[in-house]
Amino acid sequence: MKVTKRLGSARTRRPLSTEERAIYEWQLGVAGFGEEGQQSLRSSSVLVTRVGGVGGAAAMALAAAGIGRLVLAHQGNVRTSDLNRQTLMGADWVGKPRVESALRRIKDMNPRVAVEIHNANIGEDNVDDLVASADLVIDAAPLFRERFLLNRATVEQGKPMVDSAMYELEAQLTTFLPGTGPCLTCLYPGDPPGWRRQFPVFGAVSSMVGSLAAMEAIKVLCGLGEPLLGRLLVADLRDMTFRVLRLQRNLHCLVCRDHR
Amino acid sequence: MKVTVKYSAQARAATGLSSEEIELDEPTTVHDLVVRLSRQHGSAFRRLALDANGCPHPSLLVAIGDDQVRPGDHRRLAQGETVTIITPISGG
Repeated sequence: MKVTKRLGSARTRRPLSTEERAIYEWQLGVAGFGEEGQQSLRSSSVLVTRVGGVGGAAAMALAAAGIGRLVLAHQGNVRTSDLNRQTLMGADWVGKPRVESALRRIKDMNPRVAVEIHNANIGEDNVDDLVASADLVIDAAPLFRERFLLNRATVEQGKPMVDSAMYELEAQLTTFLPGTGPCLTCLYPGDPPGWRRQFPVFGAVSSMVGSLAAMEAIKVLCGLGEPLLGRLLVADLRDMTFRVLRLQRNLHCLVCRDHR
Repeated sequence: MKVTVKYSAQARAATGLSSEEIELDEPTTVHDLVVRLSRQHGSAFRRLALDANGCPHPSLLVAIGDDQVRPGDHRRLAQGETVTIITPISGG
């Protein structure tokens, strides 16, 4: 299913500057994107939570593509054990806030992007405001408690959410758009048994799924291609198998059944 | 009748298998298959696959071919079908 409305296009558009045309020259030629798509992207905002292995790669790719504003939420300081996958962090920043490292790296790469940082994870107290502050959400959180909160808030506010996940050499990606298919709680009605906060993974896996999440966000925001609405990409890098599963809505879902 | 079962994420780690062929002697539903595999593969897989009542956990992701089905689905499996069992994963 295509998203025909350009979500980022409602605000005032102005032509690209000569400098912007030069920076984004390689993507302006993408069929169905062009200068209008670039303007949509520049007028769009994305909440990325968290900005570890997956979210960091997504935020960087969005910044490189020329997103207008990023809202980044991630609590805590950089740890040595983050460095195998969290590409927005640096060895010189161990012990200092992750979001500050992310801000520094993104601004170094594309200073035109407005970046708002929150040294906090998603919780009951901030989820509604954070989701309201952006046009689209990229869920890259490791805890299902955070993911379920984001899901509820995006359903209630009618915001699209790109949901990204990884484990060992496997990755999953889907996009939820309220009213058009299942939500996260349709897939997982409750806390999955046996899920642990720390799991084995390579940085190449998190960077891959983060980049795919950024592409999904760009597609939804700019009305480009066909996002993974009602479909789940399941990638297994052990044998380089990529499958797309068709997902079911749960008609009894406690979160989205009244928002259709 | 034979079906192929593929395991993904923690289900693969718990069973030690990426896939296996299962011989079914009698009509079997998705629900029946998940319960049978839980007996076959021991406690690590059982903890992921079954809820406290011994039924397929509702947060297990199951697909027949490329179509998601509910883990407790009572549709009978057909010869040659591939069932994929995926445990939920997340970011980080």
